[in-house]
Amino acid sequence: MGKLIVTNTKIAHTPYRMKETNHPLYSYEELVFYMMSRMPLWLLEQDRKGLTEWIRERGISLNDTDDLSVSEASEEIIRAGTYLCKEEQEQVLERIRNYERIPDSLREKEKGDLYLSYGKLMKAYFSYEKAIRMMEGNEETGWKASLYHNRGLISIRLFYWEEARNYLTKALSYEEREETKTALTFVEEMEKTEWKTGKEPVLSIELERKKKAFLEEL
Amino acid sequence: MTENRWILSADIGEKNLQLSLCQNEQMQMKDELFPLPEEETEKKEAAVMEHVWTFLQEQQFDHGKIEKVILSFEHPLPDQIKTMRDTFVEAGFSKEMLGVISRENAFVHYVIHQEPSLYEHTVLLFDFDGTNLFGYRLEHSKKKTPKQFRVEAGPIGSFQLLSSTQEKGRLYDEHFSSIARQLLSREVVSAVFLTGEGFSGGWLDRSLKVLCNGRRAFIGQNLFSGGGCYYALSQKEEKETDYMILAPETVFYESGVVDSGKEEQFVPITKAGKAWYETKGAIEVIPERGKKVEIVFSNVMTKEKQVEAVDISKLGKRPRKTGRLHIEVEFLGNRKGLILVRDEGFGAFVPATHQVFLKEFQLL
Repeated sequence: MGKLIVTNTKIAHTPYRMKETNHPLYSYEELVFYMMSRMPLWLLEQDRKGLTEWIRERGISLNDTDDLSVSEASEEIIRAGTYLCKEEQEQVLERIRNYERIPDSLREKEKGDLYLSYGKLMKAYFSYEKAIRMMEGNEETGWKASLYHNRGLISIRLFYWEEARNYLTKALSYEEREETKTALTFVEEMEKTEWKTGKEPVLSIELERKKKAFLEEL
Repeated sequence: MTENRWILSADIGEKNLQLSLCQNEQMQMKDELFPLPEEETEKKEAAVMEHVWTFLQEQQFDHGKIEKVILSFEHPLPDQIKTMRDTFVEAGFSKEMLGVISRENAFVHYVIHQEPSLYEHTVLLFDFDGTNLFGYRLEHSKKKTPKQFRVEAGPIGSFQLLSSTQEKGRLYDEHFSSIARQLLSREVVSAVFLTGEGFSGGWLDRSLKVLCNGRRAFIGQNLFSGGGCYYALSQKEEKETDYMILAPETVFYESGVVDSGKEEQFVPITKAGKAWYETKGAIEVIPERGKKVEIVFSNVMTKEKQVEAVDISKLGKRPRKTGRLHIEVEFLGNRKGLILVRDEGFGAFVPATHQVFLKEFQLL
């Protein structure tokens, strides 16, 4: 039998927006899902003014959590509803409690991946840079390939073709992925059609014009 | 309901419309009987509304004071109910204030709001339109929990007499008293009700002696519409009743889902014990996974269960627990109905498609 969770919580007309990502949340269940699936970014949400009231308006009974630490607030919020069963609640809260023990590079990459998914390129850039600096060398090759691939995507989005080529080539050295090959092919095409950055200043007028045209075409 | 709010009850028969207006618990009813065109056309609907406005005008009554309108039918059918509901809505009554009841149910509600001694034993009702005689039987099972009121109805016979009025009356009296004597000899009957134009004319002589022998008898035209008023009052109280009415339109099934979020607890969508036309409910769920939604129907009398699965595989793959579904169950008969499942998505994570999945069900 397909399992179902009955929900009596109300959907909000006006969403609560996460400060780090501006992600809109319309229900209590979406909030808990956000906490689980976007944990590195959720743990940065120090300023949660109004969140407790918003949760209460969804029909969930809750003590005031706005001034608690994120991990303390997480426990109150997750335990207040039935979206997660008891076992799942313990698993998520354990993960939150132990989050600081995860290697720095892993945490930063996870953050970077999430920022990239939200289009927050600069924040993703800084997270990936930190992840690369903090690598200990014993990370899985698949993980390394993913890190350099995503760092290369940032460079593509910023039109830094040479830099992108370097990162994508490095990603391929760890693992041959089709998506990385495709991205590298694209970069090489851009370089051929004179969308060079090379040693030219990125903000040259001609490049700016080309970038604008490229984006409009997209 | 505030003090100045009223209930309008309309019993819509084949030939007549009986209207009753009552206020709160006082039940000081104002009643009137109106003729209706016999054909099943828009003329009948128009006639009903015309009589309603006439009746309210006569009572110098502002229809804005009406809180509830109850429509009673001899045989409530989905199309008939919808047509009459739409007629009242078009006339300015809100959908939420309209309720529907069968004559069987109206009869029960009328009786159980009288003094308990009246329904200590079986109660009979005779409905006579001048040609056809219809009978209703109400039985009260006190020992059951909740208490049960079982009602059944059926035609008794036709009176096709062509004699003069006086002779007709005498023959009616003879024939009816014979029927009544036969029925009343089978069991203990604590009360008898008579309704219908056919009982007017003053011919009840011998019959009354039979009917009133050891029991109380009542005659009046507002039994069904009055029962509608009592029904509206019992709904207004918004508490679980301590009785169940067993009538042909009663739904004996509770429908619901198993909530895995609360240790596999059954959560009802519709409850048993109401008429099918009043049995409708909705619920919101988040599926953990799986390509189907299962609704459980549980017979409260036999405890048997039947599961109806609605296939939602066309929604495609989604991360676990990221989809809200709106589920509705509506009965279209006491053993059949429709399940509707609509996708509401999961906010910005999974946009809603609003896809609707329908499944008819037939309970065994």
